[in-house]
Amino acid sequence: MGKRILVYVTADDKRVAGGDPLTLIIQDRQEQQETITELGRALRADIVQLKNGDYVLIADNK
Amino acid sequence: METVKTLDVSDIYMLVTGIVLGTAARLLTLKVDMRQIPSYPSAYFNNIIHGFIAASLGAIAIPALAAQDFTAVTFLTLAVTQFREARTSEQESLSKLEHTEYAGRGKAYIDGIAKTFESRFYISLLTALVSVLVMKVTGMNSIPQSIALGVVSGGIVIYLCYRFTKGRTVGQIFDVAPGKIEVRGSELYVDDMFVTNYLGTDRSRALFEKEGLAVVITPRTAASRMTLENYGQRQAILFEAVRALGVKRYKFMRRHFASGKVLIAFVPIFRDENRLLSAVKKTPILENSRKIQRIMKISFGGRHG
Repeated sequence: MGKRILVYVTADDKRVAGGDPLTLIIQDRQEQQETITELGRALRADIVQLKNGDYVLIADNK
Repeated sequence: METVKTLDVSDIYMLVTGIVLGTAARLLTLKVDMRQIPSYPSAYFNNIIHGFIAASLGAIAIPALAAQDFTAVTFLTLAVTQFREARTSEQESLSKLEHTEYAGRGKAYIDGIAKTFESRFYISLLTALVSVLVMKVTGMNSIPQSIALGVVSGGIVIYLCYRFTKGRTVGQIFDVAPGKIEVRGSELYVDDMFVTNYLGTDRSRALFEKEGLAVVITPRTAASRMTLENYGQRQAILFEAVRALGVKRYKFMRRHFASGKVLIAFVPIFRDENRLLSAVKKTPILENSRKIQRIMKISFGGRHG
């Protein structure tokens, strides 16, 4: 059973290189947290915060 | 019906003794504990009835053979079919329930449970068969003495069969200890070993720091590490751990490759560390994950076997 990235949330628009997952550019840290939490709940996905501060929403590949 | 007509009083008390002992064998090997298998009361009751039927088949076989009714052997084949059916139905039942549990038991654990149920019916059958056989062969005139002999022989069969089929538990071959939870950013560590980086939000980090529980399982030998590394075995341990306490949120299991340790961390509903340790320690070692040194040393089919 693999995993897939559902959403990528970053504050740095230079990091967006295109690709499959939805990428959201949100500058405000507080808003980032709230958005990723809400999306995580709605999509029943796990939330990972990378060391660079970006968020990734990950779900099982069913 | 011919056979029934040839039964006399001595056969009747032998049969009753055999059936009672066989059913008692099933009762003695039927445990309802924290694992809740069989579930109580329905599955518990079903097992007693199955044990009674197994004991009846075992008890009837000897008097029927003695009356030269050789079709009695078909009783035993009927019993084997019935027990296999019981194993299959148990497997199907548990497999269907997999998605309703906090964590799945896994196919290996389900197979082990079903096989154990089947073997317990054979214990019932053998107990009844041997006790009736001993009573018949000795042919004592005194009924109380004959029954006493049957009880003793049945007791020996129960003891030997139970001892032979009884497996070991996690606590007997691994060291099980509580783990210290530490959250570093979105990463979760147990006893300084990485478990996951799924704690992406402040809420999840706070939840784990406040309410999380972790257990560390350490193999004592290389052979026991092979057992622990078996996926089915680890799944069974995770199942028992989370089933004992429930899962409020998250459940992680991780192997630490360098040390061979297995880490389990989750946020339980009941936060009881001792109960968690007890559940993990009492998890049975699955037959297909067990590595017996004595058997591993045997070279099958010659030197290069």
